[in-house]
Amino acid sequence: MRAMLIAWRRFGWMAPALALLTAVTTLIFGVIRRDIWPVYESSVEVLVQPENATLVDAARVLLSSYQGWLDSNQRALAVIDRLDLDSYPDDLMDAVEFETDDQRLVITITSEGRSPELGEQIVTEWANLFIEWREEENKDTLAEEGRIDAMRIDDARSELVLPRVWLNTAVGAILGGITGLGLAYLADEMSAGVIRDAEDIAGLGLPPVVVIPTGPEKEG
Amino acid sequence: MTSADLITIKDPRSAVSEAYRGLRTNLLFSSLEKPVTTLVITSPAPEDRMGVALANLAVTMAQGGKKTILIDGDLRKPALHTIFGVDRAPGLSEFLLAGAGSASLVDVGVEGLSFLPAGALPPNPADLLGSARFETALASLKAGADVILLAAPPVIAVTDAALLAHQVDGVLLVMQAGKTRRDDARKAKDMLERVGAHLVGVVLLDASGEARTADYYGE
Repeated sequence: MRAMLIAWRRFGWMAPALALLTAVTTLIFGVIRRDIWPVYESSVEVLVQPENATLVDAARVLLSSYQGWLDSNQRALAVIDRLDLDSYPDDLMDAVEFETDDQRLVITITSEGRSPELGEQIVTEWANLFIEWREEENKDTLAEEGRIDAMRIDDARSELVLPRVWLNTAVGAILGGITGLGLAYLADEMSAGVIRDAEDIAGLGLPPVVVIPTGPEKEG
Repeated sequence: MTSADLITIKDPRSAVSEAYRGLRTNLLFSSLEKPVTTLVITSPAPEDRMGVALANLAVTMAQGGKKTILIDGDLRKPALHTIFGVDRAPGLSEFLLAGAGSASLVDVGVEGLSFLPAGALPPNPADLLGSARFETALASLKAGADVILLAAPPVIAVTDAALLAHQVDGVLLVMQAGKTRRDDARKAKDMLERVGAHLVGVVLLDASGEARTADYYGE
């Protein structure tokens, strides 16, 4: 432990230097990546609403069924057709996720991609498919109170999820600092073969030392 | 004529010059029972800047009112004459070979300081430095000086320093921070102890931070 403290005292400058270096590098890399390779998450919420309050429990049970209906190649293919996308259903399904909230009776459709506009179109169209399907299903239901409607709560919205520039910069600085501490210890170990200060000389059992500092023109 | 490179002449108020003055004080008062008047200065391994350090110490001794003779006892690769800008010969080797007469001391332009260069390089430096003639020569020089500083080749390279060590009052080892190897320092210490040398101290050159002379006497 004492050796480490001595090493850090001698080469401790490496830790903040490396922390700064990695932080700046990560920041620059993050800013560049944000400009050329951003990842946005677009989402829309669809409310599942029974006409009759007694059907709320039934709607809760049906949520997972609705999720299964949404999470299918058929729906992906329909979205591709409607938006005229240059994509395969499997690829599109990989980019889209569905989540249900039993308490709120809400299905959230989320899509990840480089274009926030396209992402919003995809989740909106997917939601529309579900809403239209529910309308068709409801037509077949004779009693009005047996209907379960679906509607978009709000317009789709997007947010940048990658890169997390400031988080990455902070992590980079911390990792750089830790690496710097390790390097400081390593540098101290590597330079252990030479005399560096009066302590080293005292450690060899030699007589007390007079230190002549570095002169202005190295002429001591 | 002295070299303008000597900081103790060029800038006597600098921290470096003050460090040399501290070294002088420590050497003069290191042993009150047996004052150090003859001193061999050497290094564990070849050290580029030992000559400059020794020259600065000699100048500081003279500046302190001590009649000082600086002898270049490195009869293999002498360098002190270049620092002072004087001829290498005649010098120590001629003085020893002559067997009689006075040494060709050179006035280097510092009051109280005389310099005896190495002279012509002999084929057998160790024999010459270990001879009775050297003891006699050293005794005659001591008669005319308060302090004699003797430069010697590196300890672990050749035996010259060890031979000189037991003819003087003490040995001062010069090391350079970041350059002198610990193994070399340890070997030098062992070799000097083996010949019964009185190691009076170590000078550490180019150490970062402020000059430290207060701990010369230990903690």
